Amino acid sequence: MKKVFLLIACIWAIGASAQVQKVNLQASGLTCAMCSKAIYKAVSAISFVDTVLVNIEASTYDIRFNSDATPQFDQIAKAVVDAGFSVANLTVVVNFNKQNVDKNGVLTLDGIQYKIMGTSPATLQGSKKLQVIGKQYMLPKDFKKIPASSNSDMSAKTYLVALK
Amino acid sequence: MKKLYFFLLLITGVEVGAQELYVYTEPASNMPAKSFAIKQSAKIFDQGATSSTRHATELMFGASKNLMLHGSATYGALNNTPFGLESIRAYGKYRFFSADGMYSHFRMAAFAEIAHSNTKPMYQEINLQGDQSGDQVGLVFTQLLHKLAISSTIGYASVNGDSKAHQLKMGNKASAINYSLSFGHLIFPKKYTSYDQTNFNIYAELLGQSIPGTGKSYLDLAPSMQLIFKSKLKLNLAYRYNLQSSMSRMAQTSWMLGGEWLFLNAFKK
Repeated sequence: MKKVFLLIACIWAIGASAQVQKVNLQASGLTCAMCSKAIYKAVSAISFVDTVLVNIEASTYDIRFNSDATPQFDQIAKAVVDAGFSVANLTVVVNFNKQNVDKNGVLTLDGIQYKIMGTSPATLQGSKKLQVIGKQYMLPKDFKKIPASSNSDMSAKTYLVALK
Repeated sequence: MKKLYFFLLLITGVEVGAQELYVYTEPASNMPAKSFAIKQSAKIFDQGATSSTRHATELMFGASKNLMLHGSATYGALNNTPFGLESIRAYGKYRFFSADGMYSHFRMAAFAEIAHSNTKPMYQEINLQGDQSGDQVGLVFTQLLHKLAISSTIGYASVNGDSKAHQLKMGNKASAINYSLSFGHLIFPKKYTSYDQTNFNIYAELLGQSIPGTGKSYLDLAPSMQLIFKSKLKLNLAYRYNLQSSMSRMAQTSWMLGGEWLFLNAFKK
């Protein structure tokens, strides 16, 4: 009987926790397959990355992670830069289950803090896209559009994101 | 074990693809960090009644995202000498500026090289790729625009040792300005669907040298074509011919055939 309760508790815990499903990455500064392959190889070699699905024409990479791992988005950006290119867009796809967002727009997921830019709902439900905002995560022309005030008082461990 | 899947989509309306993997010159872009490449080439010099072949083996290494290093050796049986090692050369390139856009980039890099040759100096042309000992420093500027890549190099080369003595004995100077303007264009594939597609690129490169204070110069045009297999093996075929020259050189025309194998992520962190 105890075991059944434990099982139910486990299922409930899994059901209640939000999950980072994948990252949609778009790289910039390249137009050749050899260049795309360099990024593909560099991202695939990251320890917490499970699979990478590539669209060479669009220069997009659909990245999924090992189930027990916490993805580090700065490491993904670094892999792209080390391959010789830049990140044009890095969007995290998360499956939320009644995720609370505090009054400052901050939520915590797998130990990582996200601060939602602008107004955000008090709770998040279902599949949402969070575009990571920052110089290393977007095209320079897109970054210029971000008001400087939204970047202030950010700790190094918090990702500024735009809810899409 | 890591599972790697490709999921390849065709996006209509976006035609992209370009190459700056020039045959005679280096672009401002570097190879990826921790990757490694080996290049083997043969230059066949047309010397009228005869021809000579110079072989070169070059190892290339991406030390970091901004720095790449080359080490190369040339060997052959040129100018009626027995077959043997002719020269060794070290080259380093540092990318110091990069502005990446979607399907475009502009990059700048500085390079330095040093060469030692044990061949007997015979020509006025200052050539650190086998003929002479010396060094060169310079800058590279590369613009990529979708299927077209344009690159320009300017370098200042000086010879030393026997090479310098030979130049001075002939009333020549021991330093030269090298410059180049290279165009590269992707022809196939029209659309990328896989890393296994064979790519076909064409190039045209203008390669020039001027020896200040002597009025001596040359300008060559080198059209070439390139096949890239499985996004890792390059095959180059080039023909280089003289447009204008006022100095003695190994040859006015030459062919080059080469292959290059790229090993991505060859060195783990």
